[in-house]
Amino acid sequence: MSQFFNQGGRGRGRGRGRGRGQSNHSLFAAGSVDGAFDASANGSAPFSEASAFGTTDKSVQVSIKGWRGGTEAALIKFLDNKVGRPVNIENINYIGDIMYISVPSRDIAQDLLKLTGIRFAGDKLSFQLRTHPVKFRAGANTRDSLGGANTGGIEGGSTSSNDSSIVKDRLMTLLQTRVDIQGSSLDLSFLAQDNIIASLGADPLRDGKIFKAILVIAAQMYPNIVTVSLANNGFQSLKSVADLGAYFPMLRNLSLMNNMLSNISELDCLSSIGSTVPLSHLSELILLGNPVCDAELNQPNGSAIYVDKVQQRFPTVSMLDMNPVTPRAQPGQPTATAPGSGSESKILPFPTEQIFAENQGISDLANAFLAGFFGLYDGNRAGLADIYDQTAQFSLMVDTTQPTSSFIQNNPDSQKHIDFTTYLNVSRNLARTKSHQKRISSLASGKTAVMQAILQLPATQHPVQDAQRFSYDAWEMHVPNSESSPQTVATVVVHGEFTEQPTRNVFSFDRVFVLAPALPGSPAASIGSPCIIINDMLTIRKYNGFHSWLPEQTEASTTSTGGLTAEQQEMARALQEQTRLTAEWTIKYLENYGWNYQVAVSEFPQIRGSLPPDAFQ
Amino acid sequence: MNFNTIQQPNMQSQTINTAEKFVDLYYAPRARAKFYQDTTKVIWNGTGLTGSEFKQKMPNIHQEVHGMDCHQLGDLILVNTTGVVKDKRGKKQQFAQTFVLTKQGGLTYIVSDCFRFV
Repeated sequence: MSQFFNQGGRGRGRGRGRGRGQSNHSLFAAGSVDGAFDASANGSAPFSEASAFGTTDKSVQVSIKGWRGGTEAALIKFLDNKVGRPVNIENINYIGDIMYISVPSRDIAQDLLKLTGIRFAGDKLSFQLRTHPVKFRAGANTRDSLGGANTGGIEGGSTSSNDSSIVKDRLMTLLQTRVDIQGSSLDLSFLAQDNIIASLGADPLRDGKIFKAILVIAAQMYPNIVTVSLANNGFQSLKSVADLGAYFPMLRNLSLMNNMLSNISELDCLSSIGSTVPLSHLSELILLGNPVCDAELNQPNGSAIYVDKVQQRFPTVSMLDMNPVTPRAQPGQPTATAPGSGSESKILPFPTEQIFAENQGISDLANAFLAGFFGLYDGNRAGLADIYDQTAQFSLMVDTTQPTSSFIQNNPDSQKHIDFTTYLNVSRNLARTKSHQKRISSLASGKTAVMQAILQLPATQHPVQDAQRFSYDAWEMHVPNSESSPQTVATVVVHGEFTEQPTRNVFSFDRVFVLAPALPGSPAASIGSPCIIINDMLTIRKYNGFHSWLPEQTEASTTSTGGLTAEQQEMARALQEQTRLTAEWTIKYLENYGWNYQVAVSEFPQIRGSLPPDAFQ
Repeated sequence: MNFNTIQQPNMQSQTINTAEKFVDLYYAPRARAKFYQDTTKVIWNGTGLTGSEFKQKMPNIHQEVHGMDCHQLGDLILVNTTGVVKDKRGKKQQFAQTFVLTKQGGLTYIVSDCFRFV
């Protein structure tokens, strides 16, 4: 897994060795970073404590990456030792391999951040401050690791470390009998009949948690496993082995023979449809002896459809049920979003993160700057003259694309007609504007032109109190300049929304800032700004909501499927395959027939002639 | 010190020229790997990667550009694009992408690429 921009020897000596937690040489680590722009310009502080940027909540969330070996309890003890006092973790959650902890104070969090780069059980850990904490539903996302909070079903749910080491020892013994000599093949078949499992009091047929425990240990002990058998375990669903790719990313052969799987969609949680760690190297799959196998093959043209459904999920499969099939992709090749997947962010195997900051200095800078900037932009725009550099550039671009968020599309308010004229008049959208004159004149160059341009724009209200409505990415850059001296700058790209006054129209916006540190004694420094603005590129769009950047664990992932049930999604996917209608039209069509798939399919030949051409892909 | 040069029309034209050429080439299918150097900083929906890591995982997505703007930044060029990503099913998702470009030996390379679904 990547460490951000870990350039090793190629770096310029900034923040090496200890990772990115403390960048002592960064220009942005010095100077005022408490985020309070001077109040005098406006009579009230532009920076509000309740702002989305730089909140002062007492409880602080920290993410921990890189932890692989050792138990959760051992890790916590290790952290207590290294910090020098009890860390007092309030709660622990996981997304994949990333651990999110809440600690009671920013001081403790800062102490943890300083530990970035430290080794625990052989692996380097990195700590990041989550200034915008990921929200977890109570009880969700706990990792079923031994010593952790969720070992119910083993030894009566006890979580004392004595018990968990007994369990761990026994499972390690079990694994030794079920892994081949090369350590490449793992046989987890017939687990319910296993003596060791029985001795632990676990019931794999009732409670799948034992599988997670086994997978965690197996992945540590045998990192080279490429063949796994899960045969004869009575699986009706694969939830207990979901995200199998996280444990065995190079898995090539998987047997699910003789289980109780009744639908191909049970495989989703191992593929890019339902997992951020799909089995992208899978060559051989066995589903023989499952009800789904018979059911599919008994359909007319069943075997072709069966292969198709499997390959939609695992395009690299070249042997299915011991019959060769032509694979659709080479192992390891990234594939486009699998059809019908509910979440748009599954293109890369990384979950979406709402905020990115390259290091702590940049994070502090971005928070301080954004809080102050929007405060002034809304409340005293003229005051920004102190913050724009003499040679600053500004331009605005309008993108009138129709909103794509299904949440917005389903909302009747979004049908209201919004007037973009004021913005279109000054829009520098080079993809649309080909007039040389307009292209040149719509770029404001130099502080005077910039201030004139932004003061002409309508008044705005940015809802900075509501953290989820904004997202930003911030990183450092070295800018060569053959006409003067090279500079180190920070680029901050913000996405969010604002309400135009007095029309009350709501817009989405993206804004790219290039910032340089404010020199001591400069006008910017005198009003408390940590930086000056060199470039400001604003994009204004039709309001498209804020769900695109929220991590998937929020309700956003259900609304993004447009409120369809899993069954309806299946129907839509299958029908779309046959009819080549667009996703929108497929759903309309099915709604029209009351989601009666048989009727919808049989009526289609007669109906298709009367459908408009843009109903089709 | 001067961060930017006050933009004269013919200087702007050069900047716009490079930016437009890049956008046309980059968003053509499967042609983009060559613009990434090993040291390129890539931020994809909030995850940071190096150019070499990103090239291994590069997603095969179809992007339509609806909006584009560019600024000169010292010897670099800042390019901002917005548009939609379409998946195989025709489902659309808006995106915003910010590039910083450099020219080396007449060729254009990406210094940083920041992509987000919006």
